[in-house]
Amino acid sequence: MRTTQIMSDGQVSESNSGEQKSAPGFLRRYRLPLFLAVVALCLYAGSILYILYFRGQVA
Amino acid sequence: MSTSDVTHHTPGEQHDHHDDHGHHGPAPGLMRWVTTTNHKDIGTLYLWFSLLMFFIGGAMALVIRAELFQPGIQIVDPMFFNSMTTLHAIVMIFGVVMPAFVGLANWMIPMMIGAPDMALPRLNNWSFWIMPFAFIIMLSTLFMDSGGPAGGWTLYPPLVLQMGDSFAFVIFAIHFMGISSVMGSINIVATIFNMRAPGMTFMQMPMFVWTWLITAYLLIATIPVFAGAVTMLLTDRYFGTSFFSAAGGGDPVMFQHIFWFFGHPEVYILILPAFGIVSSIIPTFARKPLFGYDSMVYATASIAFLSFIVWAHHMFTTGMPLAGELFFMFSTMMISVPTGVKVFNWVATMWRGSMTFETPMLFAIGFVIMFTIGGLSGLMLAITPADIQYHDTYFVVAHFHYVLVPGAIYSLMAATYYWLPKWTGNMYDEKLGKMHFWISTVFVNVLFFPMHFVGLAGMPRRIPDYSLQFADWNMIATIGAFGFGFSQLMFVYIIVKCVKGGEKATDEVWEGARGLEWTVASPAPYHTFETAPEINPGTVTR
Repeated sequence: MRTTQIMSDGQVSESNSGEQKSAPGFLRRYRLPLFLAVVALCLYAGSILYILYFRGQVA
Repeated sequence: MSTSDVTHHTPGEQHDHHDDHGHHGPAPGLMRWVTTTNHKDIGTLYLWFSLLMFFIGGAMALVIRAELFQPGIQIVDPMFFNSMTTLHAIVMIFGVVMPAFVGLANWMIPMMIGAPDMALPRLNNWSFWIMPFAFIIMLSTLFMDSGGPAGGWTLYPPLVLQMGDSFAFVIFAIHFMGISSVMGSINIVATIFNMRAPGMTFMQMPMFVWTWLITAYLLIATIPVFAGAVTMLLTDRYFGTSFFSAAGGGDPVMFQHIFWFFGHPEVYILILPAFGIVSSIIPTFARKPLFGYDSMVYATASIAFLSFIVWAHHMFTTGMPLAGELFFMFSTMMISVPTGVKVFNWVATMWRGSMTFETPMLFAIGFVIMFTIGGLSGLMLAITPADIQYHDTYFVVAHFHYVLVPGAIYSLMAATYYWLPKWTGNMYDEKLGKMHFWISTVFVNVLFFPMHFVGLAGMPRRIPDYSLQFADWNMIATIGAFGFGFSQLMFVYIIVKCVKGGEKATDEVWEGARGLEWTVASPAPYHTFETAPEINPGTVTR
């Protein structure tokens, strides 16, 4: 049965071929959602820092 | 669909497989809905939530239209009227259209790509359950002594900073709505990238999946910027900063730039999934593959890209350099090219098709025609010198309501009728569905078309009272509003009737339906594609 863990296309193929491999670590397993979350946080902080430092709010 | 192309599992085998796993069914009782991580349950929660909010936001619209039935202050005081215009917009955008599309994504994307569930099911549960609390917090402000938010959904400073105590509640609620949207979007991207059935390429994905993938990226890129802007409003109000206060050296117009950097892509967040829905429905009822699939994908991506470089067309009257006006005018007009590609492709799909006009098709065709009307008035608004005349008039209100009501809302209704038999296992009442379409279509035009006339004649937005020369068309628009509003009770009746019973739906449901979601039983089993279907290059998946 196919698991619901986050896998790349290559991993999906391997998993379906029945080959058992050790489970990837947390960071590797969730690298895409974590990357997107970091992008979102950077945009949030960046929009504030941009005005603070590039629009003259902090002299 | 030619299911023979899906190797290993024919539809029948799939059903047997799922029936064998009946013990994996939903938990009993109400806690099923609180703790569920099942994509279909969470999709259902989103859809019922958005339907409830549709009636709350709709009731606010009827308060607005009742007040505008005649000139003069008739029913509500101006402050409450302003709260109604503000909350109507926030509820309809963040509480109706966005959650409804997320609900459809939850239900349909895993089934369309042959996945057993969303990639991050617990995050999915959390994404949903944040939202009701956010809206309770926001709507509770109506019961505060200082009243609800009344500065408009765009939250422009300095006006918004003069709000009462509801301000902090609204900002808090908006942050939570944003967190919910971003988490939902991350989940959708992760699902599409990692959970597609083996062998399914990106160019084999249904258009609904493509449009949601692009929409999810738009959300991840814009919602945090909006959250940053409202955080700065909060600190301006309560912590003595002057980000947007001219008195302290800040720049109120800067807020508008940041807001519309989010706000314009938000417009496409509200319409791209609708494009995906219509691109699924029209081929089914024309019994032809979607014309120009590849160009549809590229047009969607182009619209998403262009949506980031047009924001200042909302701000022509703030005064900007001529070069800026020209840039934003031309970039805005460029959006009509990929949008036109889509409209022509839908028409070409219908061309010489064996068309039938069941309710989903009627709503889809209504979408194409009336969304195009809204698009054309959008082109008029893109022309800078003309926009300076139209700005903040009812012409703008007519424009965005045409793209959002007979546009986004019609696509949601089309999707509901299209997939309801798959969700419930029962056919809806076709006769009532068609009546719902025709009554809605008459009244929605009676409601919104006259707004073009009063707008061109100079009637401003967001006012509870107006000059006598606007009286006739306002009266007609209000009649249309009540007709459209009450005709939506039919929609609820048809849904409830279908959920409770009716003629049993087949697995394929519609003769011309194509895609993996139609290979599973009707109603869709609680768990689908626990064993992934294998997709070959020739498999019809869209």
